[in-house]
Amino acid sequence: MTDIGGPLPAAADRVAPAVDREMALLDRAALGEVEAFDALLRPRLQRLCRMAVAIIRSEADARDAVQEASIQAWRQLPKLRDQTKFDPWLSQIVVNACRGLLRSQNRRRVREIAVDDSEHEIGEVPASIGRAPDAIAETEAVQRAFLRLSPDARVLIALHYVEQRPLAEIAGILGVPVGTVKWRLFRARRVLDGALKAEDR
Amino acid sequence: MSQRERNDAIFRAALTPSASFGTSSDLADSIHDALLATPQVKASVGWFVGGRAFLTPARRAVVALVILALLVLLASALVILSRPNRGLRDVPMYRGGPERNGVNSGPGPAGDPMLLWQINANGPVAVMPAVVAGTVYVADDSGTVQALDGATGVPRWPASTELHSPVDGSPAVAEGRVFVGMDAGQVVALDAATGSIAWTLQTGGPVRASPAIVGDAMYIGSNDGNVYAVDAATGKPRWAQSLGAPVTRGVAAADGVVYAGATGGIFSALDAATGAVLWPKNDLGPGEVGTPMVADGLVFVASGLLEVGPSDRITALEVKDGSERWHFAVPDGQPVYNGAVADGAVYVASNNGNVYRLDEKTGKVAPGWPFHTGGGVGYLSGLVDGVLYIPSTDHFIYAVDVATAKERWRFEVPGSPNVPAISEGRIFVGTDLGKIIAIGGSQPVASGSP
Repeated sequence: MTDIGGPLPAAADRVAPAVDREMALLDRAALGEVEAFDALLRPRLQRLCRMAVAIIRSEADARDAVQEASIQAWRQLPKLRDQTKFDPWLSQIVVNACRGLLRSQNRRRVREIAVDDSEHEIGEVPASIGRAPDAIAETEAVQRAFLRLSPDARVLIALHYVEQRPLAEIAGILGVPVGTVKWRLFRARRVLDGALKAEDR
Repeated sequence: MSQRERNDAIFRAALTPSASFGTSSDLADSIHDALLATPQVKASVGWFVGGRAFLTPARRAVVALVILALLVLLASALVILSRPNRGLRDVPMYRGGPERNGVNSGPGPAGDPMLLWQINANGPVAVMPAVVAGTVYVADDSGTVQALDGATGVPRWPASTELHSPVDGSPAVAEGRVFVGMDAGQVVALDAATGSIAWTLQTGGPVRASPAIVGDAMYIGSNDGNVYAVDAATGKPRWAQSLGAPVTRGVAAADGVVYAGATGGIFSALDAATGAVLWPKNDLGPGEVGTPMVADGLVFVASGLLEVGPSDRITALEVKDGSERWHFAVPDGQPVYNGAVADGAVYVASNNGNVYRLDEKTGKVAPGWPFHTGGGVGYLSGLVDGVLYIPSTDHFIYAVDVATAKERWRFEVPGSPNVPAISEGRIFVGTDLGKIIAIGGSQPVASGSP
C-alpha cells in the first residue's frame, strides 16, 4: 500500500463546529456565492421578519423591508470586516430598512394630509381573540399609540419589548449611546403609558 | 406587581406579533432570485459600518472641502430679513429664564384657541421653543435647528441648520446667538440672524440639558459630570465643576448661584463666578435630577427621574444652605416633574396625568387640585397671567385657571406636545410627531390680558 502521509483524522474531527461552518459560509458569500448567503439567511428570516413586523405592524410591509435589507446585506457583505458581528450587522440593516419605509410613509402622509393627520395606521392591527373586553381595549390603545410614535421610537420599543434586546445591544443597532436609548425609551414609554391611562378613564 | 411592571407586560403582549405569523419559503426564494441579479460591492479601505457604505477617505476629503466652502458662503452672505415683529415679548430659554420659574411673558391666546400655522420638523421635537424678537427657535431629534417667523411660520434663515446629532435640550437665545446642546457632546452657538455656527464647545459626554444664560455667561451641564460656565460670546470655558455623575438636565441660575443636579440624587449650589460648591445635597435618591426652579429663597428639585420608587418627589430646599423645607410625592409613586412657581404657588406634574398646585412654603396640595388630564404630563412650564398651559400625552394642550383649577379650554395637536412657549397671544409648541405648531386665539389680544 502506498503511504498517504499519515493516519486519517477521527470522525469527530472531520465535523467542523457550527461557528466554523458559519465563518466558512460568510467567506464564500463575501466572494459572491449566492448559495452560501442563502444558507446563512434562511434560518434567520423568521426572526428578522418578526422584528420587522413588530416595528412596522404590517406583515406585507415587513416582508418588503426584510427583502430589501437582505439584498442590501448581500451587496455590502464584502465590506463587513468583523464577521463575528454578522448578526447585529444584519439586524441593523433590517432596522434601517424599517425606519426608511416608515419615514417614506410618513412623508407621503404629510403631503396628503395638511393638518388632520390622525390616520396613522399603516397596516392591519392584529385582532385580539378570546380576551376580556378591557384587555382588548388596552391592547388596541397601546397599538394605536405605537403607530403614532416616530419611526425611531417604534424601533426602540419593538427591540425592547418584543425582541427583549439589552439596552447596550439596542444602542449598538441604533448607533447611539446607551444613555440616549434610556432617555428615548423613557419618552416613548410615557406616550404608551398615556394611552393606557386614557383607556383606563 | 407595580404599575410599571403591569404596563410593561401590557406593552409586550400588545406589540408582540401573533404566533400565527410565519415566513413562507416564498420570501426566501424571492430573495434568492433577487440576489442572483444583484452584484456585490467591492471590499475597499473605505469606512464601512452597519451595512451602510461610507465614504472612502479620498471622497471624504472632497465632501469636507465642499461643506466648508458652503459654510463660509453662508456665514459671509448678506441676508435681508424682515423687521422683527414689534411687540412680541421674549421667552428666551427653557421655562422662561435662568431661574426656570415657568412664567412666560405671554399674554396667552384670547378667546377660543385656533391653529395659526403648522410646520414640519425633521424629527420629533423634544424641546421647548425659544421666542425672541418675533422669531421662534426650535430644534428636533434629527439635530435640525430652525428659526421661524412667529406670526406666519415662514423660515427666517436661508436654510435650517443641521447639527446631525439629536438635540434634547431647549435652545436658549441671547445677545444675537442661539445656544443648543447635542447628544454628540457639543454645545453650539449659532448666529441668531443666519443660523451659521459661531462657536462649538466639546464636552466629554452627551449634552441633554438646556443652557441658562445670565449676562454674558452661559451655564450648562454635560453627561461627563461637569457643569460648565462659558463665555457666551466666544465659547471659552470660564470654569468647570464636576458633580461626580452625569448632569443630564438643565441648571438654574439666580442671584449669583448656579443650581445643578446629577444622576444618583446629587444636587449642588455653585458660585456662579468661580464654580465653587457652596453647598451639596446628595441624598435625593437614585435616578436623575430634573432642572430646578428658584423662587423666594427656595429651590425646587425633582428627583428620581427615569426610576420609579421613593425618590420620585419634588423637594424644596433653602437656597442659603440646602436644608429641606418640604418634599412632595404623588400618592401612586409616579415620577413628578417641575413646574412653574409664582405668587406663592408651585405647580408640578406627574406621569399619572395630574397637575398639582402646592403651597410654596409648605408643599401642601391646594384645595380643588390636582387637575386631571387624559394622559401623562411630564415637564411643565407655561404660566401666564393666572393661566397654566399644560401639555399632555393625550395630545391636548389644556388652559387651566390656576385660581379655580378649572379648565378654560383644551386644544388637540398632532402627537404628544412638549413644553410650550407663550408669547403675545400665541402658543408655540413641538410634538413627538415632528410638528411645530402655533396656536392663537379667536379674539385680538390686549397687551397683558390673559
